[in-house]
Amino acid sequence: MLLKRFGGSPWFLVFLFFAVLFWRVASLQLFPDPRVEKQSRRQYWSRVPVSTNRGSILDANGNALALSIPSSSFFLDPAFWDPSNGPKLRNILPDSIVATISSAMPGRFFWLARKVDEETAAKIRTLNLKGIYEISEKKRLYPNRSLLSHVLGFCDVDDRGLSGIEMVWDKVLFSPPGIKILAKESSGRTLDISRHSDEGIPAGPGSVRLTIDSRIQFIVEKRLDEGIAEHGAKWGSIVCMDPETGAIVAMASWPSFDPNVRENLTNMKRIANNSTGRTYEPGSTFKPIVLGIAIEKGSVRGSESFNCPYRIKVADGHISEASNRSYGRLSVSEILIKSSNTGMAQIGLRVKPFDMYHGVREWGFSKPLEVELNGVEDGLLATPEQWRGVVPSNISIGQGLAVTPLHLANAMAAIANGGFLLRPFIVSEVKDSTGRIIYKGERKLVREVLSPKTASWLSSIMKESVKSGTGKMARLPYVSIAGKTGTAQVAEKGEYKKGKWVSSFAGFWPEENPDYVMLVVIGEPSKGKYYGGDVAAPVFRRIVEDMFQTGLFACIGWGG
Amino acid sequence: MEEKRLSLRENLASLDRLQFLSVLALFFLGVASIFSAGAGFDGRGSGFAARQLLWGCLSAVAYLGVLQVGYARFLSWAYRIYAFALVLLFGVMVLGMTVKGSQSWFHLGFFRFQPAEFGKIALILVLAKHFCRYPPLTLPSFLGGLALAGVSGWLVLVQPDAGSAMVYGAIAMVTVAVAGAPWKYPAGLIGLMMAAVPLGWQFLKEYQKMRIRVFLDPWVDPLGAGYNVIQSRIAVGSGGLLGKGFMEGLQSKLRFLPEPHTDFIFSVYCEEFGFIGAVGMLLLFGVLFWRLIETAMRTKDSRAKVLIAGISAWIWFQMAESIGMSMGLLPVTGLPLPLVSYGGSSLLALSVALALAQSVYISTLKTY
Repeated sequence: MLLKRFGGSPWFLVFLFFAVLFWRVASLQLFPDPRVEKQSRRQYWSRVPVSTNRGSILDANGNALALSIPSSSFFLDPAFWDPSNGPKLRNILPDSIVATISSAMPGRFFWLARKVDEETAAKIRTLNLKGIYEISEKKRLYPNRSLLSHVLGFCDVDDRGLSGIEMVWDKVLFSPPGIKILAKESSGRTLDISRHSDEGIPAGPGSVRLTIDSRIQFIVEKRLDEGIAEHGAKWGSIVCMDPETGAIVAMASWPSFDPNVRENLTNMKRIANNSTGRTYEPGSTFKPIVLGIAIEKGSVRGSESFNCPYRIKVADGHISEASNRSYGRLSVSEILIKSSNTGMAQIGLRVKPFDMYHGVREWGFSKPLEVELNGVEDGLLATPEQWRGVVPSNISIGQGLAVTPLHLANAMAAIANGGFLLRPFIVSEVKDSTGRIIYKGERKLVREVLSPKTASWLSSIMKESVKSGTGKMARLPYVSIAGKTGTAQVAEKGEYKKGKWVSSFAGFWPEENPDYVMLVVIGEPSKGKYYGGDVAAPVFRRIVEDMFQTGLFACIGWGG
Repeated sequence: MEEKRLSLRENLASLDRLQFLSVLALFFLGVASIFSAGAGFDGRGSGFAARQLLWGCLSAVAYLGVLQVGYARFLSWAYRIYAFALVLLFGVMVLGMTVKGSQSWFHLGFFRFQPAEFGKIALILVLAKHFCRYPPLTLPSFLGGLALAGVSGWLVLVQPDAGSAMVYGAIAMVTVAVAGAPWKYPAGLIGLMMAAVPLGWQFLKEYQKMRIRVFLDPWVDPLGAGYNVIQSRIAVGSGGLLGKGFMEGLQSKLRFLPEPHTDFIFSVYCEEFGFIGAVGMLLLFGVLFWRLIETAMRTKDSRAKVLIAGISAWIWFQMAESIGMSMGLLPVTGLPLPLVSYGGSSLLALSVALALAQSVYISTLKTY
């Protein structure tokens, strides 16, 4: 028959090719061509680091002050990019970038724009240019804009903290960049292979909870802005603390900035935190401390009285009253209530310079403050060997030394709480990525600087100062406020300049059992008024009013 | 002789189980690979796998129908079926819609239909019958048989669908050899074709010439004609011994592989299932050919021998070409991998052909 041959050869013919295929599969898959491996590695956008979730910063009530939100970034692959498309991005991207991408470029990767707003992202997307790729990453957002901006600080574009809490606690807040494998398609699209991008990233960063109450912070910043504007001042600062624990509940600095707008971050004047980074001469707000030192050292007794002329000569200089008149004979408490410079100078001179120097240092001045913030100044205080001539009496009236607002507010807290100088703190709780608490801000006693008796005596004098003395503008009918005004001269190149002042008011309330201690500093007011009682005390009062109306403290007691 | 008709149950009970199981396994490996190739990271085109399953159901119905009718009846209608196929092939030239440069589809509402696939069955049937009446023992009958096949082959070639035309040619050559043509006739023909290669080069279109150039060295045009050759090699090569795992193949997910669910399905499969998987699939095809040839050897009907030789030639040629091009052994043509690649017409035609082979197998079990 015709099909005899079907026995042998067809088998051979059919399966011969199978042998070839087996050999080929084995050689391709088990011993791949190095060119193939190289090409395959190059095809994927290996390892583009993008920002992931940075840890949140919360206020005392758990409200987020800084958090991470999704945002779009764009990069360019020069191998697929046609430089003649560059000008199409004009008015969307900065001119320098447009110039760069409008000429031939080397390499395979170029960041076009990081973390742009949705409007810009939509514009770039609509152009649909070949070689431009979008990836999503996380962007730092400060939802309350300029609120507490100096304390919070800010980050660089790769989400590393550069200042403030963001920098000090970067180890906890920083989340390592995610690795995105991105791929080009022949059509020019990219794929964001998110299921590969989360591999190897720890569970998530920790969080930092502050002692700041953002409601108080809001009131404080609003009233500070108003006060600055009303008096045409150059700078300002307010620090509000809980005198019982040393917790900082509000800290404001003017000028301020919105950390969401990156252009602001190069303005050194704006980003400086005047509450901790600026030193000034405290003036009369320092007098209660000097009086406290003199009483505790036994140099003066509360029952004494002094003759307070308009002007006294001390060594090579003079001390004169701010009010251009003589007070006559004043008791120690009246000296503080009326803020008599000549009276205070005589009290200060009773204390030996060496004792005064150590007394001031014992109150925490001219020393590091151990608060959880960066850039905190120590202040300036000359050593007693340099205290010549009029210097000791100048220090008695708060001139000739420089303090930060935080140092002074912290010292005021010691008068308010019965004499305990505490360490100020602004971070209440830090959690790591697993939720474990790794740091807790707590009341920490530094030293007892006053006996309870002296403290309550000083406190009652400061109450009287608000009731009938220089601090009358801070008076409120429904809450007893203790406070002291300050009107300091500003020294420039070793001389006090005429017409340059720092107006301040330090106080606490309710006087019987203080909930809050607060210092208001208005630097260099330029619209005529410059007395602390006229400039800073009203700001203080408005803040206390607002806080009362918001229900942040409830105290019905002392009237008038 | 009058045959006794078997019931469907009897037919199914006497199936060649190995052949059936290997076909089923290839089909489901195909569905898995189509699903993976089509899915992508954003789920684009995952409907291909679902449609392939739907076509699978339709093919199963056709399979049972052909089993019931029996191959003998199909052979008796062979000339009419072939004539009908020629009309369809002519019709598609005139009416067919243009797909990727060639007119090869009928658009029938919800699905598209490719007459060239059914032409293959018609050609095999008509050659099986024709070579029995006029065995190609003399030059005129040899040339007559080739002319018969040439009509359909030419209609496919001018679509233009060079890949399918080559399948037609392979079917004709194998059937004519199996039908008993003296060695010198097909050998002479092959010699003539070899001699005509330099001449034929002139008639090739530029893209076809380029395909052959990049076959010799894909790196002459790595982003153009050599692109899919290189990408396919990367896919196969990156699979390694065990593969990257189902749905983990980056080459298809990132759409580096062109036509991943049809022409380059073997590359998709290799990347995800590795050397082990590739050998497994080759073994499944091996089992299929073993069973087909076994059937051909068993049957005493010489028409059936030619019939099965034609079916084997068809599947073998497409398999060899599709797998071969995935691995850079052969130039790129758009031929699907039988039973595995996505394609409804192809699957339906193959199931009809394999049912015919099963029908032959069942007939060898009959006791007279």
